[in-house]
Amino acid sequence: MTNITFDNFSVKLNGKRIIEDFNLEVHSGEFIVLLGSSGSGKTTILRSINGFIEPSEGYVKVDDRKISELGKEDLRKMRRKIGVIYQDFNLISRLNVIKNVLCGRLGYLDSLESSIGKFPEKDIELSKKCLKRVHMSDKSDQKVNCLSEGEKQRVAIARALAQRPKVLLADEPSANLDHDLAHDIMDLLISLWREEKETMILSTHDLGLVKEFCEDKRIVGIKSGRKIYDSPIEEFSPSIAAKIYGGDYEF
Amino acid sequence: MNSKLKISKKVFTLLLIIAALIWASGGIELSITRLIRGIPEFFEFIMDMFPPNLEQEFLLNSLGALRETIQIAILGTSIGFAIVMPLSLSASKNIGPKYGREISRGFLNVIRSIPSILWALMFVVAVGLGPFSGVLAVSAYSIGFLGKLLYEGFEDIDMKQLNAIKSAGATKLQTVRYGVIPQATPMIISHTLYMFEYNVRASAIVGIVGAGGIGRELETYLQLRLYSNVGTLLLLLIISVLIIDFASAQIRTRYLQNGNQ
Repeated sequence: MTNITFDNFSVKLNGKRIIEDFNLEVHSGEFIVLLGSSGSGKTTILRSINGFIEPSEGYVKVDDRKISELGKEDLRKMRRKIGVIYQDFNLISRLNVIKNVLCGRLGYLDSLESSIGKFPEKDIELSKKCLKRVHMSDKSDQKVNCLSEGEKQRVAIARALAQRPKVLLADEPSANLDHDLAHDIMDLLISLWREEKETMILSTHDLGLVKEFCEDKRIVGIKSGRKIYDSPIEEFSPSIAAKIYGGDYEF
Repeated sequence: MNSKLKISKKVFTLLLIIAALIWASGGIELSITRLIRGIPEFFEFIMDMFPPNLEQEFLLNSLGALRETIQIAILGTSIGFAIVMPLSLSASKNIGPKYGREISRGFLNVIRSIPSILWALMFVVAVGLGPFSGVLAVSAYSIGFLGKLLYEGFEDIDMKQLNAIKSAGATKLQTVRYGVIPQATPMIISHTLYMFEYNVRASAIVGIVGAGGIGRELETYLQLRLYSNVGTLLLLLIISVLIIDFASAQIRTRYLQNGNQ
């Protein structure tokens, strides 16, 4: 079953083409790596899936519904099915860990009650489970400012999991972490994907990481907003790497 | 070419400032001799306030007036804050709705253009003499002033945090509650305390036109030329303003420290 479809998708920002004629079909439960250097348009592609960026031409569909044609309420309901993990974690810095995870539940909760800080017991339980999944149960009451970078990303992953997402978008999830932590986070994301079987799109500029963790995954290479490669990593060659990164690239 | 342009820009700015000063002095009758001649009279006025009147009955009466001034400031700031929170959220470029933003901004700009003493005069006419009109005047002024401080503060928040909440499917209310308020709280507290400090002074002033508090007493004793009474009132006002400023600075730094642990 197709889960996400880009068709003829183009984005213009301030008259400049960011994405050009991008086509992609992502099947339900598939793991896709968006590979490209910084500024190649990976984030724009991810942000268009949950409607933060509108296409200038073409469309993106999730579960067979065009995102740009969704009304406010439908878009909100669509967004809660799409968990996002960010490069900078984007946690709410002044809230504690469990509250941050609970924020992942907001789309399902009564607007007024959750705004006065009342969360149903089952949502609190679910959030605790999500924290357990990322091995952060013991830090539940800490303020997120006190956590290490790796721990912050774990909390952010728990928040995305709390949405019970059908799609997980991970935008350079390990780019702000040092080598070991980056590997931890990649391990975690891949094991989550194996267990949960949700669709996962992970963007990265790091070819080394891809070779280490995503050897059996479908790689979509992007250069200046255009798709220039779409195959498993086995078919990846130095010339393709050179195309993606420009100039000489040591493979 | 470029440096010449820079110089001519500087010269132009300087000329503009000089022109503004010349224009401002027109008809004001600036006079150093008058100022110098006035100095002894000013000190005489100050000296007349000493020793301040410390009779128990007068002191109690003055403390009552001071209490009323502080009450006006607390209530005025609180009412103003309650009204201005939703207004400033809708006036900020990054949070407010497209049209609501312009309307809220326009409204805040108009309110802000009227000084607190004028508000007091209008409310004295509308609801009569006394502290109630003082509270209304201080509230009105707070709306205009605090509104601008807050919406500019809201415009500085980290949009990434807000968008993360939005992307979880949060409603507008939830987005404000979890994407805006937590990160804006230190800013809100800091600006509101600043407004309160300002309002303690403003509440003293509005009394002069009859809107209650220590200002009313000041006005009366100035008219009666009972300067030692004026001295007491001013002393009380200065001490309380200093204490409030100090306390508010303490709260601010403590709160900010706790927030950034």
